[in-house]
Amino acid sequence: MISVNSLSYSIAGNAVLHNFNLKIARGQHTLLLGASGCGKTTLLHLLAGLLAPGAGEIAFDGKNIHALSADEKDRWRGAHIGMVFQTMHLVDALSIADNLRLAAQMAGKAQDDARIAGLLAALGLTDKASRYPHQLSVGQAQRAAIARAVVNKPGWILADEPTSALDDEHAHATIALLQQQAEENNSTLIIATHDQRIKNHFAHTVTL
Amino acid sequence: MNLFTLSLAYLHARKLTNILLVVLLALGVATMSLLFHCSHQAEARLSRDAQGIDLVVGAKGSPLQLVLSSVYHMDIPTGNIARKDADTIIKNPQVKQAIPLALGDSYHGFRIVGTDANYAQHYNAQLADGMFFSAPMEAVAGADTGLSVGSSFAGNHGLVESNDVHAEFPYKVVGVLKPTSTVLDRLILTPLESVWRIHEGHHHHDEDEKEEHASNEITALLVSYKSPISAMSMPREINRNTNMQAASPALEIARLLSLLGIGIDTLHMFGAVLMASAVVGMLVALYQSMQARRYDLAIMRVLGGTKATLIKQVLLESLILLAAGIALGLLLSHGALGLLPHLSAQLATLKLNAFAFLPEELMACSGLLLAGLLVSVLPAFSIYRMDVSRILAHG
Repeated sequence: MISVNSLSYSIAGNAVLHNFNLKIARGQHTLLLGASGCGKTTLLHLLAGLLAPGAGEIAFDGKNIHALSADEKDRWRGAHIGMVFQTMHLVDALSIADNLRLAAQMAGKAQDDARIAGLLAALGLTDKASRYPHQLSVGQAQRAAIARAVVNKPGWILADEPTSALDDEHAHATIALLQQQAEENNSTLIIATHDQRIKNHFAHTVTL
Repeated sequence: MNLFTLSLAYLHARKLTNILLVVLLALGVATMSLLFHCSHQAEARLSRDAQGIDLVVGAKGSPLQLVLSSVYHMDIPTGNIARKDADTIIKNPQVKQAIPLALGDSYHGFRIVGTDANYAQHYNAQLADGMFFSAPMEAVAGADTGLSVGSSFAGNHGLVESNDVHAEFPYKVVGVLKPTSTVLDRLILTPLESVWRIHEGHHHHDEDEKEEHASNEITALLVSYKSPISAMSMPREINRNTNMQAASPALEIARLLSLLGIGIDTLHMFGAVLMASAVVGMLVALYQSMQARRYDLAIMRVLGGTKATLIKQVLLESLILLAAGIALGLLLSHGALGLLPHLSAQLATLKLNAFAFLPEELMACSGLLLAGLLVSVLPAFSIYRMDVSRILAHG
């Protein structure tokens, strides 16, 4: 369960979130819908512990993550959160398989090559394992980014505008893939987007 | 995948820049290392050759020239001195030992030295083959001369190769010395009488030219004092009261090294500037790399990497670059130390050892490593100020 209570956050004196409340059950798939600049990305970054709230509390299964030290927060994030971005942010210096290994390395987890191979096979990227990000199409790179986000079987998957740069076909395929991976790993999925095309995929929508 | 392989991947991604940095570092290290070895070996060689020789007595002229020609066999002698004058030095109660030298001829660039058995004993030389000379025109060859027992040769008149050969006075090699790592290795020793005999019988084409050597002359005396206190008075007495010159090898070589030292220091500075340039280049490259990788670093934080882990990874990259530069530099310099003696006879005399490492060389490498890591800390610590959220939001 994610519990957001009376959350406020300002940038340069302008309130981006004010007294915001949210509850998301374990395993639930939630769409955070809103126009650009409404604070979706800020909310995701607050949930991931990348930003500290001005006021209020964010608790994952009752644990207030902002009470953790910086290092504890990094480790907690590595262990429990998987993030997907609009621009994939794959590490160009590493092959696709190494990008997935990097996720395990940074999270301090054992690198499970069988899990990586299985994941890449499931996402149709087996033959791209040794390729570098610049050698992939946009759709392939987005699938690789999803694979990296779920490789550690995170409890929560946070995706920020994962379909904005994709055409209809790829947008729907990406959402289906995220939902499938979330279900397989029993992860809670939260997607922040302004992309109206995908709202039919979600039963639980929160409008900001 | 670990921090080391991650660092290698990043270095590989910017391989041209990094190869150039490693080459720059290696050139600095190699220059410093070579200079350390050459100057160290040259100084060691100079002090070995002059060991136990307190004073050189010879003809008046440049004291440095006298020392160089009589101790190191590197310059032409200042002239000859009369035997009777030399005898007064030999019989001086302050003198423990005085070794006479008669120079003037050479064989294929190796100087033929008329002397007595004490000269070889002074350097603790041992025979590798044959026996020591016992009669005029017998010769004992140094280890580097290439002569063998039983062979004969005729000396060139003068200390450089010429067509003026004493063909009518052949030497017979009766012994070959073991290597001593001293000047002895490049000399051919013979009794004083051999030199006198040749030069008494030697006639120049130019009738006016006077013969340098005669049986009543030697070139120099290598003197050891009974007591160090003699150094206070004896050189002054000789220089003031005789027509001979006394020169202290220690003083003359110290003077020579102080003159050469300016050049050596300049070369050391050149090596240090090369190394410093490489370190500054590394700093610039690292700053650029940190800018280019800010998204990667932000992603690593998202994936759970702590600031300390990321800093470790960046420093590890610097460490790999520095280690590669130092290793390549040492490989180049020690490879050169192994090769140079084969390319130059002069350098061969320094007995450079490709497998020896000098403390100052290792200290310079450690200093470079430390300086490189210190300058790497600056860009690495920008990770602490990194706003991950902002970087990702603007991605």
